[in-house]
Parts: sequence; structure tokens; C-alpha cells
Amino acid sequence: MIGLLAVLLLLVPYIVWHLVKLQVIDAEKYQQMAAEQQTRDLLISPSRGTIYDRNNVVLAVSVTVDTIAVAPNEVKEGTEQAIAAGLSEILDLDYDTVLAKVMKKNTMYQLILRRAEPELADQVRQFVKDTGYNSIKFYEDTKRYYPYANLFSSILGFTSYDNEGEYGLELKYDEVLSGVAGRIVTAKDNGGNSLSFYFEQRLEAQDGYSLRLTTDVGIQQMLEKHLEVAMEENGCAGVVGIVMDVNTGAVLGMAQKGDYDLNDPREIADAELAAQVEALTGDAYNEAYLSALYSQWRNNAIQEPYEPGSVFKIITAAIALEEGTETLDSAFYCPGYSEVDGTHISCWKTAGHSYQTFRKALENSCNCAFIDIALGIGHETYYSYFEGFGFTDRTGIDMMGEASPVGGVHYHTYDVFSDVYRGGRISLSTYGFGQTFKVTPIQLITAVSAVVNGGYLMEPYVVDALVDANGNVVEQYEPKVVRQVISESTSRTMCSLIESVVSTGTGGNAYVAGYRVGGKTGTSEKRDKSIAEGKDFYIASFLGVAPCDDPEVAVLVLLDEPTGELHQGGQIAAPVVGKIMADILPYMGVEAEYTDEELGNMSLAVPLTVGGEVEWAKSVVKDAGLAVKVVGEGTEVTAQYPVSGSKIASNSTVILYCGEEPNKTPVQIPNLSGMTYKEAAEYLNMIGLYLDASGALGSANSSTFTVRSQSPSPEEGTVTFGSVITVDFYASENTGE
Amino acid sequence: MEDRRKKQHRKYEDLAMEEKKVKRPSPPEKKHKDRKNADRARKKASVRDRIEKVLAPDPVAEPSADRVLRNEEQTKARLIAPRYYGLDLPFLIITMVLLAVGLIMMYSASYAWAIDDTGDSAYYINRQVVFAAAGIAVMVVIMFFDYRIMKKLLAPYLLIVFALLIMVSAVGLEGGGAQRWISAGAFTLQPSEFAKLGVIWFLAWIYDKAGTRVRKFAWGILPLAGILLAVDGFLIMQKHISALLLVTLSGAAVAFYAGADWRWLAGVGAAGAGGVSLLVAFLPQFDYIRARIAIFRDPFSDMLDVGFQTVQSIYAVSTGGLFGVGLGQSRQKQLFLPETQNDYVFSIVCEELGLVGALMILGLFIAFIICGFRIALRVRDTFGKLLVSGIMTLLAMQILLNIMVVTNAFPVTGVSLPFFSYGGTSLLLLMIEVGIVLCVSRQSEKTY
Repeated sequence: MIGLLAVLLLLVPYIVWHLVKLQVIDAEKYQQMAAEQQTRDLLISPSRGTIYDRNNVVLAVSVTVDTIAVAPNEVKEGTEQAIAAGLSEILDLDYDTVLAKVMKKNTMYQLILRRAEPELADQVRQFVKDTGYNSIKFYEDTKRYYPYANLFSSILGFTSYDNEGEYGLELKYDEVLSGVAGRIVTAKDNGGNSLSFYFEQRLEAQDGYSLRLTTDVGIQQMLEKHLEVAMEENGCAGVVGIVMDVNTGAVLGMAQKGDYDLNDPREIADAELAAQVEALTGDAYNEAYLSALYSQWRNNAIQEPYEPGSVFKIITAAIALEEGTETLDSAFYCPGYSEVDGTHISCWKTAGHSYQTFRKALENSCNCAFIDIALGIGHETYYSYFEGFGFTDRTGIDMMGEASPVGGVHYHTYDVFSDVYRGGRISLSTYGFGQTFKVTPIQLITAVSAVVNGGYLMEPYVVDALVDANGNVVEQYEPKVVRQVISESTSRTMCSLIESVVSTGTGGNAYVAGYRVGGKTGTSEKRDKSIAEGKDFYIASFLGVAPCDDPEVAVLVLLDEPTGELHQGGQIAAPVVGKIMADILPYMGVEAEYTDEELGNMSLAVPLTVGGEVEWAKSVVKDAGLAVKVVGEGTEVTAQYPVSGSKIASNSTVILYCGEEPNKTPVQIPNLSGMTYKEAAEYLNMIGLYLDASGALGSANSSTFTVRSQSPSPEEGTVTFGSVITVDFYASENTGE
Repeated sequence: MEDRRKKQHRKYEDLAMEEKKVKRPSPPEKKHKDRKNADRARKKASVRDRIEKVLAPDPVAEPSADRVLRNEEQTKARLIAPRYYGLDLPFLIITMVLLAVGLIMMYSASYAWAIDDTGDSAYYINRQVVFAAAGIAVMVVIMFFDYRIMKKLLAPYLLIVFALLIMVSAVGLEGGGAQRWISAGAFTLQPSEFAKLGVIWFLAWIYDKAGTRVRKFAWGILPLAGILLAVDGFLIMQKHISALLLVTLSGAAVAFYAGADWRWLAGVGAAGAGGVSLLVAFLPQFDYIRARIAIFRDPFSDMLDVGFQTVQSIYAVSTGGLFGVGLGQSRQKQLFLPETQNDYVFSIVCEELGLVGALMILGLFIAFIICGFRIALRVRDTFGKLLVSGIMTLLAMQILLNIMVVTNAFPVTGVSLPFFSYGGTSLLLLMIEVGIVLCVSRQSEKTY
């Protein structure tokens, strides 16, 4: 018996061994595995940072929205149709699709609409409340919302369905914006019920930082407004515009058309293209759809190199002056073409510019002169400045996908320049006037900013600061000087040169009364595409700088493939820059300083006199700077022409009616086309209408400005006597390249 | 056993001869070559000295012949007559401690499942406490009876056991599956529990009757084979392999204790084991056993299905570590580990009390087993001795098997842990068995 007991008790060490093995030796391993099933690890999503403009206006924000779903297993028999009908009506969905989802009775979750707009969700809530269909479920979700829709689309980019940055700044700054997820580790039972009384550990989420951009909603809106008009007027394939603070490199505005709605980035914005793509099927559809999306998402301002054309003459001129190879007194002769190493290169004006000074050559945008200037600089110096201005590098702007310039594709490498036998001199010649190589718009505006800001090449940037949820600045980005390329004095000279391009040269259409706008026109041939398709394609561009006595802002506008009558930069791009400048300079608080001539050409606001005494009314009108004429015998003004608030030319006469019935004769709208300011004003006065002039009027040579468009137009028939015709003047001559 | 008794008789003869001053021929002198022999001789001499001292006349008061005689008779009576130890107190105390600890741990282990199953966290403990109280009452009652009346109660008891086995098999056949339980109103009966005691009881009775004939095949092996065939047949029908194992082994142990021919036992045992192994290895009905063995080898190979319970138990035991997570603090009992109130209370013991607590409870169990066997050793009556040793073997096997399953030292078998596992019938029967052991201990005698 003792023997058998001993045998049984021999099992005891075996058991003890197993206990020790499980509880001591392997304990940690199994404890970890046990902890995995015993705890629930909840992620606390940090909220994604907001993107603000420089005035803390919200550009992109994550908002809580509802995802609407149905729990088919909870749907009561017989109510399926009513539920499907209600949902499809409110959410504008296909009834049959919704019904099919509702009918999947053995499922617990059928997605109806992901991230519904709050108004729609509210309507569905009301529907649920009214009908009691509690099988309709709402799940909290966040949605990235862009209040300005298309505005800033090329800068901001967008997020993926999982709220991760997918494009643009949203991607570039994704890590900063998304923050750090927190965790709650809680004990739970096998049914998933929380047992927080056992164990709970929280690691708080750290919300993402917000971005404060250097851009400005106001400037951006002005920029985009004018770009859009220009795109339409000139039938362009696309337009690009950049507004930059020349002293810091801060991007104040950057836009392109066509753009897309950031709230719906996966929709092809161009209706025509969308229809074309829609017509395709299968792989062809996918390919076309994706390529359409990629091209609409692409930020051409930093991603699409182009041949800069004559705008680049600013750079060539700056190099020549800095190096002293030319002075303002240098003289050039342009016979309409140049011969370089046996190659014939035409000037844009085939008749030639004849004799010109350095300044005149820039004003005329003479290719021949700039060939001479470039050759005078020499390939070695020229190339070193080409590098110095940053054309062989990325600018380093803090945006996604800046194109990296590639030697041999975007520009000629030093070897090509230096090799006479392989056309080095010819390359140098064409570089002089900005052809045969490519730069990105951001590179060009950054380089020109360096030319005018005292010579400092800045690193452009678009994010001004990282801000935490409480509005405290976490990190402030300071403007960064890459290098000084030219001297301050050369820079000052260049400012005066480009100012005269606008005041007397080919850039006249960029003129803004009261502001000293300088700039340079550019019309570049898209040589690669032209050659490929056997047809000329152009990019008309203008780069404006203001104010020229102390430059603050540069604006570059590119009109891609204009299909209208005009395609020269001075004709179509300069007016756009002029209008943008006219809007943003006052907005930025730059004081306007008008010359007498400008004041004379300025339209004046008509004061309100109706209901006042005649004598008083007369004095008010005179005080406003306008002449006055009284009709009738009354002592009180009963009507006035033109109505108060209208703007009319300064030499116009306001008519005050005192008791007498105002003249209501219809007047045929005249065609003012081609008239100068003076002619138009006199003619309109004669037939009893008023002139309100706009456009680049008031330049020193205003006689060359003629009427380009008017509103209302002659086609609209008649207006009543005393109406105001708004007329757009335009420099019709000397605006070519 | 027999040898000892003979020796004792010889001792008594020695004393008698000495008294008559008749010298027994001294053992042939062996020149003290063998030291062992010398030791033995010395020991013998010392015993003799002691007895002589007892029998020696009082040096102060000259002893009267009467008095000497009375002393002699008293001494003889003390040495020869069976001596009553009385109730085995250590065994009773250990039993009560185990029962108390078992109830506490069962309450803790069943807490979450009780809420999940019934909404009342005390559901299982309340019922268990009722059965424990009833069990203690029954135990006390049994304790004060003469266990020998069990010889008379055997026939009715076996009748009830077989009736229950037939009933449960009938229900099982009707239901088309293996059935182990009989529902009797509010609670359920597990006939196999009764059968275990029945087999031990029957064998103890028949071997007692057999006396020395137990060595013969007809008295030693045949009754064992007969009762096992009868009971195991039902258990196989119930697919109750763990009960079959326990019944067979404890039955065989009783036969062995009784002195049945061990060669037969070994032979039949080996053959049976081989046969069962073959059946398990090849019959599709026993797929589940093969699966359990595979799980025993690598519990994580199928941790979501067959291995689930084992893995969860391993988690629980490991989580306990050295000192445990604290009483009532088990996380594995939160519906992860199934059946925590039944076969897996010890997992929760390990988790909540750690290695230290588990070893302490294991120690209690070992003390319980050793005390039980000590009682068996002390009993002179064959029936009582076999009854106690059979019961203790059965309980020891249950205890060890359950703990081995919980620690994955043995493939999963449905063996509950005495005193700890929930179950009215088994607790009641356990207390009856303990009562029988105590009853026998109360009537056991000291033997030299």
C-alpha cells in the first residue's frame, strides 16, 4: 500500500515542476499573451491640425460628421421600402441600391453614406425621429473640410479617406498635422466589457499642430479672380499665378486654373474632360481618370518647368550690370536678327529695334541686344550666375513635389555652355532672352525677387508658423537667405529699369495708377510641343514688381497656350498682373501716390445731392472735383445725373434737376473701340453719357492707350440719358516682344 | 502484514517464556562478524530490558504476588489487545480546512460566470454551501455509526447504482448521445460518482470475505473483473473515459491492497491499457481523445477551438506568477477561462494566489492523502482497511489528475477537484467518503 502511495506521490514533483514552469520560467511569455486578450487597446485619434492663412482665417479644418449606415438585422419587417425611400430621397442616392443594402437582413452594418454633410445628417436624424426607424445608425467620423473649396487648391492638397495627408501641404506636413495617437489600455472580459476597475492606463493623444500659412485669403481671391477671367478671355489651356513677398520669399498667393474643389478632389473638375473620361470604359477609363486627376492635382507653379522667355532678360540684365560687362550707357543695334556662330536668330520685331540704350533694349525686350549682352558676359560667368540665382536647384519651398531641375533636360549643363563646337555660344545667346531651357515659375519669381530685393536669393516658403490648439506659436519659420547674388546697387538699378518697362516699354498694360509697378513681359514658345505638333504654342507671361522704389511684392502670371487673337505677354499677361497689383497693393496697405496726370485721368465718385438745397448741392459736387449744371427752377434737387456712387471722369459735369423732370431719352450706346481716353470722354459728353475709365490708364504715354472693351457694349442697344459707360483702356502699341 | 503479526506473537511468547524463567535457546553465536546481526541483537536486548523493567517488582514496596500478576495481565492486555486511536483529528481538520478554502476559491472562481449565467454572482457558491453543510451533517452522522453495517448496506447501494446507470444510459440512448447526468428536479445526479464508491465498497466487502483466498484467481481477480466489466460498460456508453479510468484504477488498487495476485493485475492491466490505447488510436469515436492529446503536446496548435480551455488555463496559471494577482483579482475568470467553477478552479487558485498559494494548497492535499493512507495502515479490519485505502486512492487520483490537467501536465480529462469544484452530488459523495474514512479511523486499532 505504501508502495502505491509512493507511486502516486511521485506525481507531485512532476506537478510542481509544471507549476514552476508556468508560473516562473515561462510566466512572462504567457502573461504577455494573456494581457493581449485581457486588455483592450483603444486608439485615441488626435485631431488633425487646422490650416490657417496668415490672418488666421481657416482654410482647412477637420470637422465631426456622421457616417450614415443601416443595421439590416434590426429593420422591422415591412419597413424596408420606407427606409430605402426616405434615405435615397434625403441623401440623393439610388433607391434600388439603398433597398438592396437594407434587405441584407443577416448583416449588422451596411454603409449608406460616408461622411454625410451635417445638414443631410440632420435631415436623416429628423427622419429617424419622425418615423422611429432606429435601424438607421449614425457613426461619428471626421471629415476634412475646406471652406474656400477651390481657393488654394494647388497649395493645400487634401487628405485620404482615412484622414491622412494625401497631397499638397496636407501630405508635406502630414506628420505635424496629424499629431500623435493616444491609447487607452483597459482590462476587459471575454465579452469585451470594460473592467476598468481592474486596470486602466491612458496615454493622452497629442493633437496635431496647426499650420499658419504666409498666404492670405484676400490676396488669393484677388489673384484667382483675375486668373480665372484671363483664362476665359484668352482661351488658355491653363494659367498660373504666384504672388511673393520679395523680401522674405513668403508666398502670398499661388494659384492655377483650372483647379478643383478640395472638398471633392477625386472628381474631375473640368466638365468637358470629365465627360470624355466618363465615355471610356475599362482600363482606358481608369487610365484616363487617373491621369486627369493627377493633372488637376498637379501644382504647376512648382512642378511644371517652362521656358521663361523674355522675363528672363531681367536676369541677364542683372548679371551684365553686376559684372560690369554693360552699363546703362551701353548701346546696341538691332537689325531684326542676329548671327551667332552661323545660326540665324530673329528678334521678335523682325523690322529691328535699330539703335538702343541698355534701358531701351530692356523696355523693347530686344532679343538681339540681349544676345549681345549674354555673349558679353561670357559662358563661365553666365553659368555661375545661372547657378547663383538657383536655377540648377530646387528652391527648397516647403511644398510637396517641387520639380527638381535636371541638367540636359531643363537646362544646359556647364559642359554644353563651354563647348563652342557643340553650340555653346548659341546656347548662351538664347539663354540671354530666356529660351531653350526650362525653369519652374517658383524658381523664376524667386530669382527675380532676388534681383529686386537687394540681391538676396531667398528660400521661398508657404508655412509661416506651427501653432498649437491654443493658438500658441510652436515654431516660427524665419525667412532664409540662400545667398546674395547681386549687389544692392545693381538691384536698385534693376528696379528702375523694370519700372520703365512698364511706364514706357512693352509692359505698359501692367501699369497701376498711383503705384510704381515694374515688370517684364515674356512670350515664350513651347518649343518641344510646337515641334512635336507642328504648330505654334505659346506661354504668355508677365512678372511684375511693386512698388519699384522699395519693392515689396512680385507677381508672376503665366497664360498657357492662349488661343485668342493675342498671345504676347505684354498684351494679355501684363494686364492681368496690372489688375492683380491694383487690387493687392491697396489691400496690403501700400500707399498710392498719384501724379497730377494720374489724378486728372482718375474717375471720381458722384456725391448724393437729391433732396438737398441747390446751393448746397452745387458746392458738394464741386468739392467732389466735378463740374455741375442745374436744370429747373426749384430750390431743392429732385434728381441728379449720374446717380450718386457712380464713378465718372474728372472733367465731367453732373446735372442736377430741380423740380424739372429728368431727361429720360434713350441713347444709342456708341462703339468706343480704338478711341483714346480724351476722344472717348469728349464723345460720351457730347451724347449725354458719362465715362468711367479703368485699365492701365494714366501712363505717361496715355495717348497710346485705347479702348479695348466697354460696358455696356454697343450690342446692348440703348441706355437712358445720363448713364455711365465703363471703359477699359489698354496699351495697344509697343506691347509685343 | 502477516509477518508483523507473527513477529508480535513471537514477542509475546518470548515474554511468557521469560516470565516462566524458561530460557529460549539463544541464537547461535556468530562471532559478531555481521554488524547488522549485532545491532539487531542489541535492539532485541533493549526491548527485553524495557519489558523487564515494567515487570520488575517495585524496589521500594515489596510487591505481592497478586500485584505482580495484575501488572503482568495489564501489560499483556495492553500489548495484545487492539488499541483504539479514536477519531483521526488531523484528517478531520485537514478536511475542514480544504473544504473552507475550496468554497472560498470556488466562490472567487465562479464569480464572473455566475453573473454571466444567472445574473447573481453568488449563484454557485450559495448552492455549494448548502451541499457542503448537508455534506458535513452526513459526514458526522456516518462518523458515529459502525462502518461494518456497510456490509449489509452494500446490496441496496449497488442496486441503486445500477438502477441509476441504467437510467442514465437509457436517457442517453434516447437522446442519441452520451449522457452522464440525470435530472432530478432542481438538481442533477451523476451516477458515475456513485459507481466509483460502489466498486470500492463491493471489492472491500468481497475481499474481506475472501480472507486468505484472495490470492486465488477466483476470489482475487474474478470479482474485480466482474464489477469492472459491469460498471465500465455503462461508462463507455456514457463516453465517460475519466470516470472509467478512475473506477478501474481504484478498483485494481483495492485488489492489490487486498493481496490479489499482482501478476494477474499487472497482466490484465497491461492488456487493458494496450487495448484501450489501440481503440483510442484507431476508432473514429475517440477522435476527441486524440485531439486532446495533440493539444496536450502543443496547446497553441488549436488555441481557439480544442485547445482553448487549456490555453486559457495556462494563461491563468502563468498570470499568477510567484505570488498571484490577489484573491478575487483574477482576470482569466472574466469569462475567458470556461468552467472556472468546475474543473478549473485550481487555475484561478494559481492565478490569484500564485505559485506560493498553489503549493500550499497542494501541500494540504498531500497531507490529506497521507493522513488518509495512515488511517488505512492502522486499521486491522480488512473491510475497513480496503474501504479507506480504496477511497483515498480514488481521491488522490482525482486530486492529482485535476491539477495535472490544469497545468497541462496531462491531457484534458473531465476530472473535478475534490472540495474545490462546483457540484452538489460530487461534494455530497465526497463528504460521505470522508465520513466513511473518519468512521473507520474512529474504530481503528493500534497495532505493533
